[in-house]
Amino acid sequence: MKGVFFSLIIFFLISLLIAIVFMQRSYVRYAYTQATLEGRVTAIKNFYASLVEDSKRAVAIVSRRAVSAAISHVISTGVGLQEANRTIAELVLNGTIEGEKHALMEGSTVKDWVNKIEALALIENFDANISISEVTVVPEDSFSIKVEFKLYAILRDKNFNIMLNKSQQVYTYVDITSFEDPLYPLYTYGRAVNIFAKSPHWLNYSSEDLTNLLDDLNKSYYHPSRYGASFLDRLEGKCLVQNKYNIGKDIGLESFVDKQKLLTLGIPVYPERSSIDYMYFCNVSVPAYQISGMPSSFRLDNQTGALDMTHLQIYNVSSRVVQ
Amino acid sequence: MGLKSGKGFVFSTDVLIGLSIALLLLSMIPLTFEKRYAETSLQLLSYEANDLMNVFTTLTVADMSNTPTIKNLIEKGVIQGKDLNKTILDLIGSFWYAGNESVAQNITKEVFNGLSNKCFSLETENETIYEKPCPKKDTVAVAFRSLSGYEMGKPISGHIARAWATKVLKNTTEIIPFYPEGSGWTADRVEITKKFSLPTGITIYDAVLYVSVHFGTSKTQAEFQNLFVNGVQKKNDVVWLYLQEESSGSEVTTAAYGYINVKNELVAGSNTIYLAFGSPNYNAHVHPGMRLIVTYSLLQDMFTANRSFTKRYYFDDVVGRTGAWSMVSFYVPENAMNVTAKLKLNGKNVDDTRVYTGGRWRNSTDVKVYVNSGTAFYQDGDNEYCYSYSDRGYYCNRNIVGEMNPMLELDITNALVNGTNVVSVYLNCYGDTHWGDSTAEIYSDPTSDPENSSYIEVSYELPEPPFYYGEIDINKDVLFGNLDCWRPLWNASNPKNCTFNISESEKKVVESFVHIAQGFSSMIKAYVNSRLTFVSPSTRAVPESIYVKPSILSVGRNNISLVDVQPGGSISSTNYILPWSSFEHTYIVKSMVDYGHVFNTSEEAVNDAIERLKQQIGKEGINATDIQVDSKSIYGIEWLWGPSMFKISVW
Repeated sequence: MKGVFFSLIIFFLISLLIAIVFMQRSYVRYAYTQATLEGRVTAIKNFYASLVEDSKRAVAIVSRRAVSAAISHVISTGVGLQEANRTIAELVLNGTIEGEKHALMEGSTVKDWVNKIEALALIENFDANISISEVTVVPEDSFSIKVEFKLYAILRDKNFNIMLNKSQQVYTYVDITSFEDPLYPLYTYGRAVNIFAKSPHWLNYSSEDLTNLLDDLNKSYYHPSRYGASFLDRLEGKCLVQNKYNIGKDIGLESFVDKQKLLTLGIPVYPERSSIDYMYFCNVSVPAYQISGMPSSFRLDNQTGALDMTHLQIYNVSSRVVQ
Repeated sequence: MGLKSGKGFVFSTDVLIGLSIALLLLSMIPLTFEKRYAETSLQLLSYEANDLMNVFTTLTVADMSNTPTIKNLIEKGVIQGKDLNKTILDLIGSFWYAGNESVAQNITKEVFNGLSNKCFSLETENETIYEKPCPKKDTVAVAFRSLSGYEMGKPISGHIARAWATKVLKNTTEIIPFYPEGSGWTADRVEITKKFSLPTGITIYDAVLYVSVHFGTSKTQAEFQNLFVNGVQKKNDVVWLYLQEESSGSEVTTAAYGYINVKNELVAGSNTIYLAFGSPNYNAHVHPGMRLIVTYSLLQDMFTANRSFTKRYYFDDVVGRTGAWSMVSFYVPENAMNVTAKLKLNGKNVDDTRVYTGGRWRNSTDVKVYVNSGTAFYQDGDNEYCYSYSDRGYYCNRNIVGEMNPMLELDITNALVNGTNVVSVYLNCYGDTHWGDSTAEIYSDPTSDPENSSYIEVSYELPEPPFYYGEIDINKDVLFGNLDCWRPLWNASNPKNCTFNISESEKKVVESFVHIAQGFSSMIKAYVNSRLTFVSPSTRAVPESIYVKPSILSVGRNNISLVDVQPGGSISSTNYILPWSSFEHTYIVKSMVDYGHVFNTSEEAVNDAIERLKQQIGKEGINATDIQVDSKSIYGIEWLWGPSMFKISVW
């Protein structure tokens, strides 16, 4: 009887052990699954984070091309855009200007990027449905514009029941330096070219030494301006900052028109006008003064430039005005 | 204690079996724990890999500007201000894909080593940017990040360029008309002097003077007396293409059409063509279609066209024995605004006549002006009485009371029409009933005495310039004989129906004209694309050219129909439209190309732009070598390559 009893005990123990083993295995499997799920969740979250970051980068690349295309359109037609911000947005989204495809945007629209990302998601074992919409373009400061858009993504894991459905506003900045200023060709029969380049001398002008001011003139560097047309205004052929682009800070631009250079291009020159580009091109009627030590055709007005200072104050030449 | 029964054996066996199973099972437990331990370790590594990736995609160049390589690059100016906001991963990618692999490796190593003491590597597209030299382990965690703008073997950014013509040496065709004009009754000749200027600095390639005259008597006895081109007698060089002799009783006259090449006689600047011919039994005059067509090269600067225009149409100097007349045609564009026009007439040696009627002497009309109408716009007398022939068999019973030099300035604005306008001036011309006694002159010398010359001056504004900057106008004139005409080519016919093609590149037509060449003529009706474009306002009012509104032309096939009609409306049986009529149109093409595709170098981009420009303008017959080109390239147009995957492995 004792043998039977012990056999039963052993049987019971074995059953218990088997149960424990199975429980252990089950737990391990569960933990493994959980870990895998966590891994996939992390992966999907990382992919989304990567997506957001790359969308900024992609939209920045696309926007620079869109800006180039918009400038190209203005220069080739000789007519400013109606709404520069909307045109850039259209180029970013569709690669078109008023429905017509632009060569520069070939294979470089956000749709192209979305297609590539969706293909990349498949490699990562996700089904992705991504869209970019509601693109808006606004000035950020004198030398950059802000491109904001809505990124909408649905990511589904192909093996697990994991889905990420998210939309968020994303923005990126586009630096306008190194692009061509459309205002110059528009007002010079397409002959004069000026590239947006920040002055390295901004607010560093000596009344004794005019080297920096001369350098700004010779290289037609750009300075921030309160009233001079911003980049978007210039795309519309406007000389002054329009209310629709005003964001409560100085977003305008101004450069010195090199009148001697215009002469060599066979363009009529108006020596009496201020050399500040928007004043010169649009003949803003203000007194403009000759500055001692500067070329005789150089004129500077005493209107507000930026930072609540007048041009004579900014460039530190009040004492050099030739009356 | 011995084994005295089988129960003890069974128990021992059970225990052994049980223990064996237990040991076996227990031996399995550490294995699962080991696996779980490995998983936990992997998770930790994974967290670390992801954290590192986050750091690489969050930290900016500015944040890491103290690491040796980045600091050095900033000092050398390789990394500039705008690069400082780039993320570290972006910076590494930029250098790696630009081929600066060692720089990318150094940055990776320096940034990584400052962040973690784990073993790691950074890879992209199956290439290792940097791997920390340490032994490999079985457990490796990876984190990925996609980055657009990079692709193996592809440049990150490139150049775009545009080009524009600053000057274009183009072949242009200028048509210098001789208006229907004349006089000269019964063998007295008419003398016509045309003075005109061609632009200076041109090279004349071709110059053909088409001569269309009505002279007498028979075609074999033509009184075609003189044709001097800048003083060179050319009358015997005229190649007569068409001679139509008509007789009415004793009157025998001939309508003649011919041409002469005057290329060698014409010069840039001022030119003079003098023509004299007579008609013994009738009236000697120029018929529609007499014109000089000059083809020359013109160095054209690029300018924006104006919106405001003032054009002068000078009369030719016409000296007619027994009267002089001229019919100047000009056009007002279809969308012109604020149109004004004045006629200045400088008449010389005009007989001043009067007639005795109603018991008193009344001033008779000797000067008449018609503007787009069969009713006189101006006449100097109050009657045109003339009942019976007297002197010289044709002169009516007027008395010549003197000679006058009428100088008129008439505002003809109210009589203008948009389109073709016809102004006729008659001095001592009284239809077919009688003519003046001696010479009368419509004076004109535009080159030496423009202000005292006779002319029509038209001013108008256009809502927008006909062409903008960066565009160039191209002019083409094609003889009907070279068009697809219903009647056999080079035949005279009435009506004349022709079709012509406007190509896609010619779609921006800014001006177009039909130049009518006729022998005898009465009234003309012109249809373009089935629309009535012009109808003569009165008999014999057939202008030299008819303005065709560009808006009724379209790309593809277009048609012109010219028909000469009698005042009653019937088609003239002996008045033909000659195949030397022509269709002239001016269209605009771009003389600049905008930014094109992105290239790896500025030179490639500029060359592409110049080539595109030359092809564009070259299509219109402008020699590519004659274009002065300027260009501009822009750098920094990034490619939307990829996205490329960057992988951080940690172990």
